[in-house]
Amino acid sequence: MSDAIFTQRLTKYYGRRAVVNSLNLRVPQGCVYGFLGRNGAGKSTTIKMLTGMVHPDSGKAFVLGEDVAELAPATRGRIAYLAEGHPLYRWMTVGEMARFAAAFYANWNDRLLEQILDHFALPRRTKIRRLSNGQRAQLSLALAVAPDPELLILDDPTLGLDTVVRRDFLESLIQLIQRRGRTILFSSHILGDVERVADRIGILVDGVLRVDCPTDVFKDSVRKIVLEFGRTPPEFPGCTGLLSSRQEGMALELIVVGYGDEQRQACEALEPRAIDVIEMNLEDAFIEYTRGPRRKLPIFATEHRDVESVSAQGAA
Amino acid sequence: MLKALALKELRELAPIAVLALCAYALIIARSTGVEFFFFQFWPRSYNEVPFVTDGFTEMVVLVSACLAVALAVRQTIGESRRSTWHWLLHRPLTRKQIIFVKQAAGVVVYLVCGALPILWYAGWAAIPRTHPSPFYWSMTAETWEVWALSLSLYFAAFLCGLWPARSVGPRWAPVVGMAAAVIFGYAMLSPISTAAVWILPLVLIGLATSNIFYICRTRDFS
Repeated sequence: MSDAIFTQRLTKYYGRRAVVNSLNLRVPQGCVYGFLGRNGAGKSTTIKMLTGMVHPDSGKAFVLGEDVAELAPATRGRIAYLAEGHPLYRWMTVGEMARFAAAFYANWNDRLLEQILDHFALPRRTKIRRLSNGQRAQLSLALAVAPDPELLILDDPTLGLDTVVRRDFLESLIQLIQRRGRTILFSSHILGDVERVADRIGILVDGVLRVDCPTDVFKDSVRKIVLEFGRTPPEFPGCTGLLSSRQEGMALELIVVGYGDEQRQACEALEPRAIDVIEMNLEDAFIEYTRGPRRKLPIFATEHRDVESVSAQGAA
Repeated sequence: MLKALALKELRELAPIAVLALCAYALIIARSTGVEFFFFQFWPRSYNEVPFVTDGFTEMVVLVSACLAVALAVRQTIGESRRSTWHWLLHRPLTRKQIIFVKQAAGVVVYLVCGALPILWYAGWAAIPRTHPSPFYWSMTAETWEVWALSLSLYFAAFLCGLWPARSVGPRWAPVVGMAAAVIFGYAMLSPISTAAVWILPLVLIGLATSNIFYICRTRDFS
């Protein structure tokens, strides 16, 4: 399967700080890729580099097989980009905006647009400045999808939307995904959304891609281990893949990537009363994985992951 | 698609054009001796000669300069402020096409807004017995000239709007530089030759335009 997005050591500096550092990203065609990271991790900058809004200081990015630096207008027409905040011309009505956008595309699907506008109950005569944030997001999505793009790049599309609107937006996104194997790359802070939609995730930490694997692999790999002691817990000596350890009363809580024999033996060596291995949802796993203090993080980089070998890359 | 973009630009510039036309109308009303309470503070003298001693040219240039800057700012900083560059630049057009259409729309608005009032006033001045002084069409030449020269400020302001400067001073340097060059060039060269007056502004407009295309291609729209 060819890659819809492919970057080679993509790097961007703002001042002396590398906001994106040697990013090697591959998004296969037909994949829904959740691009995650904390504020300032470099997600938006990466997306802007992929759409040609920001020029990389070094490295290359290819989208639909073309170098972003020389992206032809026709190729750009096959890519939908929803910028953060859904910028649209607020003085236009919904209908005017739709007509304006339609003028740029030969394969504009007016029927599909009508269906989406009806679905979202967006009145064509309303000025865009009178729409709520959620409605603007819905209109942006409708306009992005109407030219039948092969690739959708969405920069935090659900930012600022309330829970109901967000759910509705995502339902629509899921419906759109099901059409002819579109590729979608979207960044989000709302991990529940990503968990529902994405079949692969990438996590940027300080501009470095630390995780690039199927969503389930990431979730299954990060585990919370609770060691129950009938006394004050001893200090944990450490093991491969350990992200953090903290004392909670008479228990010791460990967050471990790739819990296996080596880790179990390290836990058992402390002779706890009980060992509980708790699965985490994506949000908890993400928080544990990315929160400070900064340290060397285990890297998920392979699709057919071998827990032992992945864990061996990391050091607690 | 270029037509849609041009129409969008013209619609966005319409409010500025209306304001400019109101200002021009005020100048014409005063210059043609329309009685209006406001003009008691700015009366027209009967010995004023249209286009020569009535201050019409100076007032038109002032409004035209403001119009040129306002149009360019609306087309550039206006897009930045609303973050709509991201939407616009992602359309299946080259950046050169987008900027070219924007500039074409801006120049058309500038030319139409400025030419109409000058023609109107010249037409009034050409009608016998509207004022007690002679009138020849050649008397309008200086007004046309300085009005056309003011268009150079449009390109300078367009460059300013795209310029990714962090502070106000450097951002407006092209407008200040262009204005200084045009005024200096006009004052120095107009006694020598009409054609010579155009050399410096045309060179600067060429430089500004090539810079605009270069900046648009290379700058980050973050």
